[in-house]
Order: sequence, then C-alpha cells, then structure tokens
Amino acid sequence: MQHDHAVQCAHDPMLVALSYLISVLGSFTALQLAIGIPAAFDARERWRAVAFAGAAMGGGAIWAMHFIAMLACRMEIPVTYDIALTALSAVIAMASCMAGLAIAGSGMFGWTKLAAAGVFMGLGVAGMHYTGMAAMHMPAATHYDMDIVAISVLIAVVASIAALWLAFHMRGAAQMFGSALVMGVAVCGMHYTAMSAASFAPTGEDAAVATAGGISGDYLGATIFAVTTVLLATVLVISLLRQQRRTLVRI
Amino acid sequence: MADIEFRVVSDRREGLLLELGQLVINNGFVLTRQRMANTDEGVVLTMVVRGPEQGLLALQDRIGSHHLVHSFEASAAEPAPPAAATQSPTEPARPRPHTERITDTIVPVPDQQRVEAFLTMLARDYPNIFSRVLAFEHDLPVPHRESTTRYAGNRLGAWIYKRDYALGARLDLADSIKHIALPALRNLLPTELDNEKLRVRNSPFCRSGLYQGSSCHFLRGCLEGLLGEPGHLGRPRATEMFCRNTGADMCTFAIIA
Repeated sequence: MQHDHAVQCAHDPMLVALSYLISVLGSFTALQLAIGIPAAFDARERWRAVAFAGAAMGGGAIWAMHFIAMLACRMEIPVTYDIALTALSAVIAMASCMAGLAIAGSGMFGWTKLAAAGVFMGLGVAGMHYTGMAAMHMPAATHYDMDIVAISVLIAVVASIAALWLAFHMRGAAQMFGSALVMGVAVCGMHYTAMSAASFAPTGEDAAVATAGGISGDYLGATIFAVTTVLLATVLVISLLRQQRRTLVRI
Repeated sequence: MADIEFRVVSDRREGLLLELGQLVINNGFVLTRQRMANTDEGVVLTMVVRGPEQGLLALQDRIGSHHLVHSFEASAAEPAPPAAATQSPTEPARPRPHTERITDTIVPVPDQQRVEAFLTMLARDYPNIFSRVLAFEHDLPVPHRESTTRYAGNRLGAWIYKRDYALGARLDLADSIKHIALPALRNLLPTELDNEKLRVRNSPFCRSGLYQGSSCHFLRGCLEGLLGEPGHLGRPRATEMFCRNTGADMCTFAIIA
C-alpha cells in the first residue's frame, strides 16, 4: 500500500545483479558444506559442518545479499543502520539456517524432514530481512502491506525447500549448481518481494537526529566485501580439498 | 571332497528346501543332511552338503544371490554322529571344532594379490575398463570366475560411490537406484531405468562364450557395491533377470535390499 508522499526506492540494476550473485555464491558455499553433514564421521564433525554451513548461508547468502540490496536501494533520504539490530539480523539468519541444515542433513531423506528444514531456512531469510529493515535509522516510517509480506515469506519457504531438495536429494551438477541458483532465488525473491511490500512515509524529523547512532552504508559495504572474500576463499578451499580427497579414495 | 554346513535364513518356508536343494545338486554337490526351523530371525534352513572344494565358492555365490535367501553362513560341517551312539550323562559334551564363519559376502579368489593389482589398474583406467575386465575374467579359473568377477565389480562400485556419490542425504532404495546407480552405470554403458529396474544395452560380457546363462556378474557386483557402500540399505543384492547372453534384447537388473 503506497502512502502519499512516500519516499521512493529506486534500485540500481548493477547492485541488484550483484546481490543475486552474492546470494548464489553464499548458497553454493553453504550447501557444499552442508551436503557433507550426512557423511560426517562423528558428532563433532557433523556439528562443525552444520555451524559452518549455517554461517555461510545466514551470513553470506542471506545477510550480505540483503545489505547489498539495501545499498542498491537509492532513496532521497539518508539512512544509517543500528549496529545491534544489524548484528541480530545476522544471528537470526545463521541460527535458522543451522537448524534447517541440521534437520535436512540428518538420517534418511524424507519429505517431512525437508519441509521442516525449508520452513526454518525460509523463516531465517524472512526474519533476517525484517530485522534488518527494523535496523534502519531514517527520517521516515516504514509501513508494510501484510498480504505481500505473507507472500514474501511463502516465497522464501518454498524456494528453500526446493533448494534443499536439490542439494540433498540429487547428485552431480543439479546438486552443485542447481541448488545454489534456486536458493539465490529464495533469498532475492523474498527480499525484493518484501521491499515491494514496504513504503516509507517521511516523518519530517531532522535527518541528523533520525540517523544518529547508526552506521552508514559505506561501513556495511566494507563488511560485505570482507564476507564475500571469505566466501570465495572457502569455496576455493572446499573445491581443492574435495578434489584431493577424490583422488585419494582407494579402490 | 568337502563337507560344508550352510545355515540359510529366509523369509519364506514354502519352496525353500526344494529350490536350494536343486541349486546344490545343479552345482555338483550332494545334500547329505538338512533341517528347517522357524526362529525369531525367520525360517532357518541348515544344510550339510558334500562336493568338490573348487566348486564351493560358486555354490556360495549362488546361494547368496538366491532370491529366497536373506542371509547365510557357511562352515565346515561336523561329521554326523553314528546312529547307535549314546552319550553318557557323566561325559562332558564334545566341544565343537572351531569353524570359520563365512557370512553373506562375496568371497574373493584365494589369489588376492592378483585381484588387488587388477583393481588398481581398473581404478586407473576408469571409466574405460571393459577390455581389462574381460581379459581378467577370461584368465580366471572356471570355478572362481563368476564369484571373483562379481567381487571385483563390487569393489569398483563401492569405489565409485565413495568418489562421486557420497555427498548428500541417505536415499531410500528407489532414489538410490535413480540418483546413484543409474548415473554411475551410464558412465560405463548405455543404461535406462524402467520401474526401478536397470536395463543395460550392449553389455560387453554377453556372448563372450564364458557362460551358458546370465553373464554380467561384474555389473551385478558393481551395482551391489554402489548401493551397499553407504551402509543404510543393508546388503542390497542385484539379480540379472534377463541377459543378452540368453537371447534378451537388453540385460535387466533388479535390486533387492
């Protein structure tokens, strides 16, 4: 629902594309770590895989994507971000994804398990997004169309289920790449649908007062760059280790 | 000549003794004793057979792959007590001699070193393996040919699984056939899936002149290795329902977990 004189958010297409790329990269890293969960040697190895995969998904695919997309959203008003809520949004994403991946990676594959895991992951995506939105300090109030909010959550859950199915049920290229591409759709689809549900009504508050105490987008950009670098390095290491392990398998 | 006791566990009583007895005879053995009992495990048939030692591995393989056999053990048989013998209550029971229990596994040929060297070359040549496998199979002594070929296939299948298919969820049998066995076999030969049965075109093992009946023992072993390596499906068994060697258009494999 659009309010009169609402602040418009014009998305930079390059950054939108970048946001999808980072969500795919983060998803790829996370799911490559996650598919090792069923094959873990012991509980310690299993929980380590769950933790790293959840961190990569929540922190990389979801959180980093969200803030690139927020940087892509050009508004006429200044915006800063509350540090505590921004950090909380990352924790929500990682914790939900760890729960979802732990469920998906346990025991035999089953549809009930898949649905439960998808719900956790989807709620992690949505929870992170709306917490991240609540972290915005700006001279405007955010209003949501709840019907579209519900659709955004549904998109996140359904696409997460599809991604997990590809990652855990399939083998080969569909497993490796298909799951990451679909999970990227889950994250980005949820985000941009949720952004269409939001409208920003100016409050008339002084911009300096409204944005006080928050960190600017420039600092977030540096953090996102660091996260992306870690993801790329992790992907490289995983690939090398898997290739090495493959050649060492004895008949 | 060897006297071997087989302890077979099955889910079905009807026809079990008849079918396994016929199998024993067809493999050149004589059934000297048998008894059957219903237990918590299922129907347990104990058979003592007598026959040539060199045919023992083939017989074990055939018993192990029989569709009525859930599991079996083989051990050296004790001689039957004389009919008139009685045991004084004061005499201690004669201890059972130590026997080697051979469970339902594919028992390799005694020349393990040769087999290991072959398997190493197989891994190196994969997926272009068939000329080497055919040559190896051809050079095997007849009594060991089928079981050893199947064993080699089993080892290869397990290796392929560990290399290429180990990452991901544990799948049930139908999904394992679809997402693991089918693509793995397609990497070797043209293969189709037909209602959970795998159909292979142009198997090189057919019409080699080595077998009268089904001939794709290597592929059977390969499937068993691929599907058995994860562990959660128990010991899946592959049977060749139809074979080009016996006139079928394609070689068809069914898997039972």
